[in-house]
Amino acid sequence: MMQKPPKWARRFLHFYCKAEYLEEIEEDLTELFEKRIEKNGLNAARRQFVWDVIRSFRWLNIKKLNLRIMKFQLMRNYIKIGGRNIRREWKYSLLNFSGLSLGLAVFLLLIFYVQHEFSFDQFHEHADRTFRIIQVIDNPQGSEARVNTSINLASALKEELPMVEDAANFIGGMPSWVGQGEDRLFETGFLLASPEFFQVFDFDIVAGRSDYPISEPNTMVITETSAMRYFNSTEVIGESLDIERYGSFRITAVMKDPPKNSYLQFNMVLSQDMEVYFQNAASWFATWFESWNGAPAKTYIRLSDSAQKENFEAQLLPLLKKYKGPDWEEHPYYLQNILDQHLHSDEISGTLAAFKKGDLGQIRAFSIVAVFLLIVACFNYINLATARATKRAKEVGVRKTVGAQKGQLIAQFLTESFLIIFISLLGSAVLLNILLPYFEELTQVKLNLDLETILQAALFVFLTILLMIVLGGLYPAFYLSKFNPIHVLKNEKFNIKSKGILRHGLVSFQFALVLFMMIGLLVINQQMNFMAEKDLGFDSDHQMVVEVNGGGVRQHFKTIKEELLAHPNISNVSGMTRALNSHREPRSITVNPLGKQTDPLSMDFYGMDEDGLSSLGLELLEGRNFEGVFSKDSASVFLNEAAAKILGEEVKIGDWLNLDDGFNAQVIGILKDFHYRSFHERIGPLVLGYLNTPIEDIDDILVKVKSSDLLATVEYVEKIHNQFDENKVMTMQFLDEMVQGAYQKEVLFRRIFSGAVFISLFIALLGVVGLAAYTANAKTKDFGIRKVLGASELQIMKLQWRDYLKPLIIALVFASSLSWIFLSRWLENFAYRIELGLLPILFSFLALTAVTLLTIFGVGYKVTKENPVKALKTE
Amino acid sequence: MKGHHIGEFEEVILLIVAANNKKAYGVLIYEILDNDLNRKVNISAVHVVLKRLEKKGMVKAHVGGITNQRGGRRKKFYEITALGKQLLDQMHETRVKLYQKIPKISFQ
Repeated sequence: MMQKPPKWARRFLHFYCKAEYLEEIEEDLTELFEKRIEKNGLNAARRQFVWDVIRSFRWLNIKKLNLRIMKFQLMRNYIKIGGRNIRREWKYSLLNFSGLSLGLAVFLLLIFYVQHEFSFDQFHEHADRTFRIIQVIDNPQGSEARVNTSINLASALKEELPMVEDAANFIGGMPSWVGQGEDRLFETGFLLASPEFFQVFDFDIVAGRSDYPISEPNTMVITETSAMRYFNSTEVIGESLDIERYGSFRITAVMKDPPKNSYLQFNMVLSQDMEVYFQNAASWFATWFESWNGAPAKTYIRLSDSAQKENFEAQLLPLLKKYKGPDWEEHPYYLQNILDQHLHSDEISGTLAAFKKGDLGQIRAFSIVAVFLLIVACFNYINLATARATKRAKEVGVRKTVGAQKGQLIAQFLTESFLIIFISLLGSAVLLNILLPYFEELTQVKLNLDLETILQAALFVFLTILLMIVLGGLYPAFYLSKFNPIHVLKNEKFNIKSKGILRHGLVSFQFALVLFMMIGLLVINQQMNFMAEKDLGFDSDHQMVVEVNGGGVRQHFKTIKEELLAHPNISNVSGMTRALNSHREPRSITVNPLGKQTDPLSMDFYGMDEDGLSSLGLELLEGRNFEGVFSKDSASVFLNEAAAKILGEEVKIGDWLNLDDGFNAQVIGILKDFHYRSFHERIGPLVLGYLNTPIEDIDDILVKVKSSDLLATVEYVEKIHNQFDENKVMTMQFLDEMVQGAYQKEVLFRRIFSGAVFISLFIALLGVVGLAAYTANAKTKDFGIRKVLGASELQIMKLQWRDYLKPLIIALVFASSLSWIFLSRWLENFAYRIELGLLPILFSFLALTAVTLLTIFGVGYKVTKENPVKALKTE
Repeated sequence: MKGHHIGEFEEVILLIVAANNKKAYGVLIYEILDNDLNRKVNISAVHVVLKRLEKKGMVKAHVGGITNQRGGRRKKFYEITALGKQLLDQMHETRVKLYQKIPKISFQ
């Protein structure tokens, strides 16, 4: 198929270009585009085409608008008058511009972020019919969806089902040392994939073999960044890398880094050659890996154009039955479209570090906040425009008298709104540029705001402006054009009261939105603090977690432990199979009380040595600790309270359990429950065994240090570690930081959200400033008379405040009920959560009331203080 | 010839049109500029200059026949007019005249 230039760019060209030049320009641009595909690749050619279209947007080429002179002159007049008004009342204009610009800038920022999150995996050409296969497994805690499937599934599907156009699978590589000879780096992001990987996914190969690059044994594709990291060059085709545990792989192609909006993130893709790995793994591993009952691989398929997803799902089970044999316990499988991977994978387990999961709830929240901000900003504009309507009334009267139609007046005021919004848009572009770096740092998301994205967003921005004009400009335009010229010109009092209801309504609405967000922020803060302060049930302070990355450290753990304990600032050292409450999930095992016929139960498992209990400060409710004698301890386990409760009366201390269908261990104690997972989840049943068991081996060393001279202690640990580590590199973290790492999503959300809340509060206050200033001005005489009759300054101030109390109360009612509904739902995400109380609502309300009244006080103070004589003299 | 002044870039393009008389069109001129003369310009600049030269009467355009090769679209080819040729000749002549007046200069 012939490659086409971007459709929207061509449409834009057709839109602006004069008919007499169109053919020539389009023809030439297309020819250049076709030539550039061969020279620079499709993407570059598309970019250049867009650029050419933009560059061709010249006065000479642009269609001349056929405007009737009459209208055009009026338009000029409207713009001129609008401009004068902006200049004459520059204080109000400044309020308008800053509110609208700020609102629009933050709105766009949030929308760009949301757009980024929704754009995941769309770059794959056939994304709409590419799926991954998910299986649903029943276990005692309920059913569980998993991405892991048999390694044989992909090829069988492709061979036997004609509707499957292509299928690929991959497994995640174990973090390994990678490099040439002695020169190695620690690599965490690589996949081992079947040859069809680059057929199913569209990752850009920039050099080397582009069709089936990893079809030969021991070949690999490397990303540009990684190539630079390992070779300091991207011309690395034919080079080889040694990958610990997997062997040596030859580079056949270099690819661009996976796009930021790719669910799969990796540094290299290796061919699926596992022989070297099998040699070092347990004996059963290779058999399990290659069998139909094993589940090491993630399988992805692309269906043909006409195929139905449901059809496929129906054919999958018979096929599985055929291969897995008659004993196979049937369970459901389903397809997940790859466009859903990023945001709709919450329920799916078996994830890789290579998967980039997003959070749909968060995105929804940001979209809502974005719209709120825009509404608050637009309402400011409406309020200020209608409040100052009296000033424009005479102009409307005169225009009507000399024959202006109502429609023309509406057009005039809409033009003015457009003018103001357009200027605000420019302001927001400047603000956006200033805010963007901070925002990117905050979210750790690189928003690709290149020319093309912005142009594509241009339509959206245009719609936003239209919406703003409708929201902010339409009402004032109708309102202002309604004036009766006779009343206005005769200087009669016309009905101001009627618009008060609307203004109060809008202010109430603004306050309600702001209050709602403030309450939300407080509750989120409360929950976060609650989690930070809640007792984990174990001691996470001053615990270094040293990762075990090589065989040397694993083998010489006893020696390392002795040497570390010799240091005065190290009080305890223990080995663990993995650190508690880290991003790495505990291993799940099956548990069966020995000699009793029950269904196996699924429980979590950790292993540690005899110093683990004291090091972590775990409380032993019953029983005894390990003895420090390997032959005895390796067959001893603790249960936590939750596990003891599930196993019930039948299992007591001294009883034996069968673990993971293979090995028997005796229960020696019951531990008090502790939070070995994040507070999102309840404490589950846990078996805590010895460090070296057939189930798992040591993977982390826990070092309890004293707070004095921390740096020197860490250096000492590193020195000892490196004596035994082949690669002489130590990776470590502090346990309390790892624990906090589970709440990154919430921390990020809180940051962005608090920013948005303060900005919306600020914008709302800008509106209050404008309105208060206007009222104070308009009522100068009123206040003067009151003062002459003996009113105190406080009474005058109260009059100004009174206008805002009703909106504040209305806002309180709406915001508190809304936030109650939303926040109680949000809190359900946490197994351990705060009680929703009245305090945050009360506090937010008082804070909002206080700043509002203070703002009015600041604005109205001068008028209140003024000598009444001055005010009354003005007439 | 008074009033018929053209700029340097216009002159270059006029020369290219003259050299490829009746076969010159946007992309061809762009590629000569890009490859042979190593001048990096945007195609739109070429279009603008061609329009300007056409307006000044230096070149004229005709629409080429439909070829299947290019999806049936038509191309606009340019040729130089007598006026254009005259201007080029004159400019060349002036230049040569001036050049010949350069005395022998030796640089140490």
